[in-house]
Amino acid sequence: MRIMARVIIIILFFVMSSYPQDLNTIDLMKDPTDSLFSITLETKWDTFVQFIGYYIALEKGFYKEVGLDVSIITGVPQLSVPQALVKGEADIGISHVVQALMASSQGMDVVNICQVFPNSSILLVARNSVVQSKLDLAGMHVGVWEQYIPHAELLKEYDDDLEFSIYPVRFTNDLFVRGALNAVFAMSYNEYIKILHSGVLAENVYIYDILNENLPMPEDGLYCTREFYEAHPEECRNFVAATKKGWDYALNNRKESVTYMVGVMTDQFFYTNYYEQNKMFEEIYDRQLADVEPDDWGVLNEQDYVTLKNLIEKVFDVSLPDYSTFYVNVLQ
Amino acid sequence: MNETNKKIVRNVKIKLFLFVFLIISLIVVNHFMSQRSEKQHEVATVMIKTISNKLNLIFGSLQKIPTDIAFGLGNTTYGVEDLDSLLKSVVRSNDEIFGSAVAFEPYSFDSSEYFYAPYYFADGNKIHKINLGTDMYNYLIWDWYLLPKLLKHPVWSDPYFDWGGIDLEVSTFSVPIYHYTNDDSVFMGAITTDISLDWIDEINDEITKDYDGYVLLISTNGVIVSAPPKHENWELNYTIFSLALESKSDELFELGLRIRDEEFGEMYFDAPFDSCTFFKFRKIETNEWTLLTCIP
Repeated sequence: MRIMARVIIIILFFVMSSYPQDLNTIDLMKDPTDSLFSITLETKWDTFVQFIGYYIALEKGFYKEVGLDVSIITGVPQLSVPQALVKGEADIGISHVVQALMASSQGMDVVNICQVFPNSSILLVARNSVVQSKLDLAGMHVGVWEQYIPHAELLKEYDDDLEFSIYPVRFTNDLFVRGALNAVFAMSYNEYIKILHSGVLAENVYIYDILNENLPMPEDGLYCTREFYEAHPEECRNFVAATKKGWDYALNNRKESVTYMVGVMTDQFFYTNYYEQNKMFEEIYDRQLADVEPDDWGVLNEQDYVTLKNLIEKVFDVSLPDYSTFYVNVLQ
Repeated sequence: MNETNKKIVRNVKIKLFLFVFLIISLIVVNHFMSQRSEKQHEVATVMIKTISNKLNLIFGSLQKIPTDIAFGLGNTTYGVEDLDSLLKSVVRSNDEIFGSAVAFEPYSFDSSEYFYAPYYFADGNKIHKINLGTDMYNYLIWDWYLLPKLLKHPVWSDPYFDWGGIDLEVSTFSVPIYHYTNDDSVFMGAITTDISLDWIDEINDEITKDYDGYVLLISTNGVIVSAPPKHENWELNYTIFSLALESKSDELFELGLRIRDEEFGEMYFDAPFDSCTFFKFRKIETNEWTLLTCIP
């Protein structure tokens, strides 16, 4: 028994002496994110509930759970997300399929690793005192965000009845509300709600909704350079999985999540309120997420892609990658 | 008269007395209420007029400088140095103006330059210059340039937070520049002044400190620019319409529409906040924003 006790003491001595003397001090000095893989995510533009899933995933630690140290930066419209990715300003970015394909046509090799929003939210909003049908738009200036000019060109090619003139603008809602332009592009979950909150009555506007015209224009998707994806496929997969968890959490805990986003926006000096952000989130859910089957979450629909690819190739006379080259289902 | 009849008469007398007392009380209360209401209306009218006069004076003086310059720029020849010293003097002219730019239509200032838009801004005691027109900043599509161009008149922007600049609430006043000929006018560009708005809250709080109600300043698009301290969270975060929609108040929404469309007016309804029942509004002549007072 005494021999056994001595053996145990000797073993304990060796075990203890192999550890640093002050474990607590060492732990405090070590950056807990050192072992995590750093990813910078760039959003398309100003922060609001459009990006709630990513902010919630970050706040709730879902990215850290899968070994990622994620930081979110706000994109600027002057520099497209694909450009920022190619320049190395971000690792993963949120962009539209049209924008990513236009970038591809210019030699920027980006891949879609997740299609979060499968539908279009673009509305063409006009005063119905001037426009009662799409034919009335003929020859009219329609305010279009500079980075959405290709969308407008595609729309005009897709629908022969649309013969408006594209008027490049930075923002659309103020120009419309003040009557500087009688027709503008507006996202259903953003500018359109702001227009209504500026005293324009829904009954006084004509709306041309791309979603109802069956022109597939999938919106927010996650992109990275092919080089990044090929070097870090596991991290990309984990990023998408954690992002899905963030969106699921936000949808199941709306009040908490929207309140959190209002706080994030306030910290970033954006003016808003809970009511407005909640309305926007409701519209995002109804239009983009409500009808998505769980197994289809994040999948870029191949038929939609082919339709859009063919249209872009025709309108802009460019050559674009095949579906399997452009899109990678990282969750499979 | 037997005992029973006496009782009946006494009861009738008491009831009659109570009825008369009630009627008189109602008349008296109504009289005082209407007197109070008249007094409140008078106070509200004076309050709005006082603030309106003060804001008119300040907005007027802030508008005068760029408005005068716009006419000169469109109809005389200016060199680069003239323009530079002009913009510097605009920024120096008033403590509330912290930045000023002149932005021209493509090739209209210099036939070899697509963009030409010098911007001067104050940074403490120093004044710096940057050129706004670059591939990364196409000023030709920004609201501050397009609104005066398309509307053909001077425009105050909705307030915004000048993040990374002076870190204050500001509004940009933009004036279109026209070259006038005998029978035509040609749009040449726009001159802007960036103006801090922190002084508005100070004026509002000072004038309304002993007032039962409060005063809101509302922009052209319905944005609440100035609110009393207890509703500070409304400032720039809400429009009067989003406030109405949130509180499901059709009357408040209607008030918002009237504020947008009418020069002045008043409405009675039970507001969804602060027990307000009477609202009075008046547009500020100089910039078309509106003062709205609410009385509990």
